[in-house]
Parts: sequence; C-alpha cells; structure tokens
Amino acid sequence: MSVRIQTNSFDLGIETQQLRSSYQQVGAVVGFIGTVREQGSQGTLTHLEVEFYPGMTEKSMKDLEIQARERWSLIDVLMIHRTGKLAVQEDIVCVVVLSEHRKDAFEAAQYLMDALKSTVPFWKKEIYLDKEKWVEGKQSDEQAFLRWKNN
Amino acid sequence: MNVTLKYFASLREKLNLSEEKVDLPEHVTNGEQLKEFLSQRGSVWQDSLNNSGTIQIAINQIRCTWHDSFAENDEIALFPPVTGG
Repeated sequence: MSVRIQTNSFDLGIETQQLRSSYQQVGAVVGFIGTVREQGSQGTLTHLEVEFYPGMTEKSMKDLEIQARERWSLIDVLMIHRTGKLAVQEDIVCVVVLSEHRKDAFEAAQYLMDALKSTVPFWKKEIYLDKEKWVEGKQSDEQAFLRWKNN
Repeated sequence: MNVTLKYFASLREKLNLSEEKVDLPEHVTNGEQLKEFLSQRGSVWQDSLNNSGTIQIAINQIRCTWHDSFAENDEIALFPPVTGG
C-alpha cells in the first residue's frame, strides 16, 4: 500500500514495474493518469497550481484505499498526487491497482479516482496569462462518486 | 477554549490568512457558532463563510458537520469543495 504527495513528476511505467515486482499472484494491472488539460473554464490556461492539506490529505487517500480493499479483492494499490505548479500536459495524479482478476482492478481504480476527486483535500487553481481562477467543484464529479455509494 | 484554525485555497486567499490560534469564547463550541463568531470580524469574513454556502469543515483532519463539538487544542479547518485529481 502506498500513497504519495509530491511536487516532482512520476513515471507510471517505472512505478507499476516496482509495485508488481513483489507479487507472483497478480493477474490484472490497471493504471490511470490524470493530466493538465489546456482548456480551462476561462479559456486556454498556462498551468495549474495544486494546494493540499498536509496530514489530512494523506490520511484521506489512505482511507480510500482501505474502503476499496473492503469492497474489492486487491493485491496492492498505489496513488500519487502532485502539488504545486503543473504545466499543460503534465501529469497530476495516478492510480495503479493490482488484483488477481481484471474486474476488481478496473472497478477499484475508477472508484479511487471518483472518490479522490470528491473527498480528498486538494484544490486546483487555473492560471492564465492575465488572470487566475480557483476550480469549482463539479456536480458531475459528485454524481460520479455518489453512484458508488448507491450501488 | 484554545483552538487552531486553518483556511485553505480560495477561502485562504479571500481572508488573506492560512492559520491562526484563537481563544474561543465559551459559547462557541461548534462550527455553526464558529461561523457566527468569525463573521463578526467584518464583511469579508461574513461573505466568505456564509454567502458561499459550500464551505466545509474538518476537526482534527476528519471531515465533520457544522454541529459537531470542538475540544481544547483541536485543529479546525475550513475550506471550499475539493477539486483534486
């Protein structure tokens, strides 16, 4: 189990390789990367700034993993979220899930991302050439998370 | 009651404050009462804490409701809806 918050970039390939290396029973590996899109709410942005709540953010991410493990049969989970200044096309977040069978890994990875977006204390600010704007919580993200609660 | 208050993201910027130690009056023991207490500091505080309607609260790094009670030395965080990922 591993949860990391860092300013540095990450390499999903290397991270996945390392995570897999200690397990013989892995039959499914699902990896997800969320990246900085050029299109912001106010037009073309130059970069994002990501803020977090030291202590609570790590704890919230660990709690998500515990919840995912209660729900699906998982071998290991890695979640990395970057903070600070992130340019367009850079990676923001990744989730890697290892399981014996694909259904568990697919569903858990989606759950972890949906839950992360709705519950873990990170805040993104869009930076444009001439202005900046805090990203507002999206109803669609909330809906995506609620669907797991109702099923 | 001595507590630490923390503010994050847009709320931190509006208030121009990230953290403070406060000795709360006896009648301020939960989030609702804290909002009222802090609103007395002026219109910026009042607008930021009440008009937004979406500000969330955590006590000792655990999300809670506006009616949950504080204890001495608690860390109370106020922040807008999260937008990570």
